[in-house]
Amino acid sequence: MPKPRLIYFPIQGRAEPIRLALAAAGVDFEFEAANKEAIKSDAEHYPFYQVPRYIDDEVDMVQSMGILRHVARKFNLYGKDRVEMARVEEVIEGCNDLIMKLFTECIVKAKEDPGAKDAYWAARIDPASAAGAATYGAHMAFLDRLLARSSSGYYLDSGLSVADIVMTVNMQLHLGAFSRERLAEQWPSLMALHDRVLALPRIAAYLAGPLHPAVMHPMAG
Amino acid sequence: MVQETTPVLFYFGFRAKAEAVRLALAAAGVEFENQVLTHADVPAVKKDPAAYPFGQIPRYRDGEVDLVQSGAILRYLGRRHGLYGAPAGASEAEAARAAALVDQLLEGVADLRSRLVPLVYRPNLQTEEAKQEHWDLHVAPSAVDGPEVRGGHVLHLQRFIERHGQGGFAVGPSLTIADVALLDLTDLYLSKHADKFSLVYPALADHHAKIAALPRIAAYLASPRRLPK
Repeated sequence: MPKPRLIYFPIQGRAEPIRLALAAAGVDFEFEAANKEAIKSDAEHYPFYQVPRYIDDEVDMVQSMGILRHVARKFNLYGKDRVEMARVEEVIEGCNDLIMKLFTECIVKAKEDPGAKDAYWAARIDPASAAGAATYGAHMAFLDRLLARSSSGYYLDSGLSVADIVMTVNMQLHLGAFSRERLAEQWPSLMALHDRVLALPRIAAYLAGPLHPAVMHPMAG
Repeated sequence: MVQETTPVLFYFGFRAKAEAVRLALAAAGVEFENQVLTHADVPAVKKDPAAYPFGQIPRYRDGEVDLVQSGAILRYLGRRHGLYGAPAGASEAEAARAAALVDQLLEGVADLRSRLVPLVYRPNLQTEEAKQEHWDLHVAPSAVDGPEVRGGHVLHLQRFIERHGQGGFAVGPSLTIADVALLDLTDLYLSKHADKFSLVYPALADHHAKIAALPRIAAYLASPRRLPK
């Protein structure tokens, strides 16, 4: 099998879960910096005028979460059956809802509104607000609750999946805005999962290597 | 053999986030029960994290799973009922390619839904100005090359199905969860813009007509379980 190719910007961004999943699976890949002109003129390969784009022996596709699902399926990071896959999907959806709120309500808003970070913490991180009316599915408590259903230390009883990887990226993004002490104090299991995933030998090697971008996101951190 | 349990779908009395799931169940020929919740039920939902881990509906329960998150439910149904694009006997590579097409279109549809839903369901946003602004940014073909678009444009969806659909389906030669998700989205555009949308996006209008006319889906659309909004 030739090496998969990942085409994106030289940042972690929306491609980081894909890179981490490939690393966790022990799959070496090539990174290519995206060509902005090509993205907008080549509708066949960039059907939504977006990157990441991913090419392997089976697919040539876009949509970061679609790519992640493909990689998960191909390299056994999706659970053992359709019931476990559905559990993975619940976590991915919940993480992405929270990440979207982190960007809109915290990172972007904080540039104009000095109270935005505290308001975001109160609404989405503080356990006291988890049962409130205005969460709209975006709260750290929900992701902790799902993790508690499993006894393996990962979201699935059968072991590591892309659910754990997306949650790890979620925590990384939050660490760009809030201190480790505060986050770990409120959500020790989620922080332990984050640490566990990043310490996996293949992931630690990826993080220390040339394929891991230094910049998380142009706006974060 | 496991006793087949009639699936139950817990949601408000609206189409909204549950409708693609309902359409998928109908397409699969699965009898299901709509357990309709009202605003008064919301506190109880928030206080039952075992059943509602995100404090949200829809929730789907059958003999095998008890799930939340509309996307998770839809994909589960796609896998269980052969609506993820891979025909019986497909190779792994064929199945992977088919699933990749379904997932790409589902993501594209979700992107547009998230921008459109406020216009349909939040009263203070249902203004002519808001409707026009959405059209100008996400629907008008001329806007597709604009800097603000970032993937959320109807023209991408039409091009995608023209490139990858066969026999009038959205992707590949058979009905998938991408078809029902796209039908559901096109419904919203037709309800907001009617003929204007059909004229500008004939392939999407044709897709809508074809899928809506499939026997099981047509029966569902004509049934009392099809909610008015």
